[in-house]
Amino acid sequence: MKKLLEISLGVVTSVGGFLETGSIATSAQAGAAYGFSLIWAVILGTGCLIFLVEMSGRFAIASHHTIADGIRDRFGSNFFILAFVVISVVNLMVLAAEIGGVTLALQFLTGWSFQWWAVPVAFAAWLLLWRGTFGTIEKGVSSLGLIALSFVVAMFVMGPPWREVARGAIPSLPAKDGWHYAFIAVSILGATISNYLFFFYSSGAIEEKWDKSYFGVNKITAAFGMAFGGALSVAIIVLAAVVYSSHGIDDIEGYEQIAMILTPALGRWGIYIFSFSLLITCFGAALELSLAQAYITAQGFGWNWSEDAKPKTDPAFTLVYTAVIAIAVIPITAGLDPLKVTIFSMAITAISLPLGVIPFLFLMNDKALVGDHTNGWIGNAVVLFIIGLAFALAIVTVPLQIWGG
Amino acid sequence: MIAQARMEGVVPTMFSGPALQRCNAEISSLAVDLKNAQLSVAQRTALSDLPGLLVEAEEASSRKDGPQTERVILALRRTRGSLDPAGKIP
Repeated sequence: MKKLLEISLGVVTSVGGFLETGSIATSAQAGAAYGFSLIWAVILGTGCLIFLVEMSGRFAIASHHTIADGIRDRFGSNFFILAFVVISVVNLMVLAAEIGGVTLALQFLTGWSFQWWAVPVAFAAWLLLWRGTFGTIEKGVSSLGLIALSFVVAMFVMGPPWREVARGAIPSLPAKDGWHYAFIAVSILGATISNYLFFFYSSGAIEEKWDKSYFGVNKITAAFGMAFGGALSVAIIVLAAVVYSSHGIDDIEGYEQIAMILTPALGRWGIYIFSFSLLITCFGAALELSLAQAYITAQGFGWNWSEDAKPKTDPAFTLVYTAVIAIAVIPITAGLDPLKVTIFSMAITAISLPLGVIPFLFLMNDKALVGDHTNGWIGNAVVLFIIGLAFALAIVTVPLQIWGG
Repeated sequence: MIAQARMEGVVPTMFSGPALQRCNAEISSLAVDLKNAQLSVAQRTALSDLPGLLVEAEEASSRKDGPQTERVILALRRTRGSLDPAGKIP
């Protein structure tokens, strides 16, 4: 019974935590510009994420180490520092985008410019991390993110042409603007497969003291949580395709347009539900990112770390999340367009992917670390495929950013 | 889309106001960028009319003046037609 409850909570948390500013923006862009034809990118990204998240949890349970510990121990300090620097820069950009998402939601709800909200939002996030526990952050905030299920409800209310929606699950070439199509596809994959998720998930497994009896919980949480989360992104693509095409919009210029996505289905509640969904999901992602950065840093440098411990027992860990929040809030306070920050950060996430993904191939086949819980041939084939995909994404992102962004 | 939603009362002024203001600011900056572009007289007139129309749309929609908002939206659509006679802008 306890395990069933944990699985339910884990799935709910994953669903709530899946959606954030990046997946909302990239899915809306995809639907507006190319109708249903980029649904395959969400499905591909979600499939990859399910495998990697499951491996992160399995690694933590079997080895009692986090992914960051594993990278440092298995690959040495030089590789760890390289991965740490690149992933930290990406995390900072994505954190700025998430803070931007929360401030925009508050702008939509109050009419006050997003810039004014940046510092209060950053302070609220810091305070919750300072005072809260891992459970409060992971289960409390992410569960509130279930409001994002309203995207699925709205999709059914709008009644899209299901046959065409299903056709979008198969990759196809666009009828127009191939560079832009590829850029959006890369951004969707970047928004879906983010390195910080693996570090956060494996650290969470250690925080929650998952033992060998949790292998099943881990598998079900990763598979169902991420799959349901992916369904939310698909719902946004479908909604965007239906809503924007009827208004002749094929390019999203600002988050205000995205905010209108629920209005045709849910009427006057639409804007409030969208804003609340954006607020909660981005706030949850901002907390997870700040914690993930603190975990990677503390684990890599061998400091004390635990969100459940008091700040005075792990001051360096506390200092890291304080510093990253303080730095990430700067671009939003300075008035940088949160949508532009989001799209850019999703694309650079794709560049950093190989550094986060390659270690899985070695860590998950190291009997000294994971014992009998190494990858089977399917797991290894999938990791190899993801590594290939990560390299392809990393190589094409910069040209696509220039010509298609 | 936003002005129309405001006219229909499905979004509050605190959302539509800043959104239309931002739209106006972006259009004005685009108009400055296009000053030296090769445009016909009709396109230049349409371009100079745009910011005023957007302000009017914002005011009419926040007053919940349905008929006036509808007139401004029609004028905005005509302006789009003049700026883009080939219909390349969606």
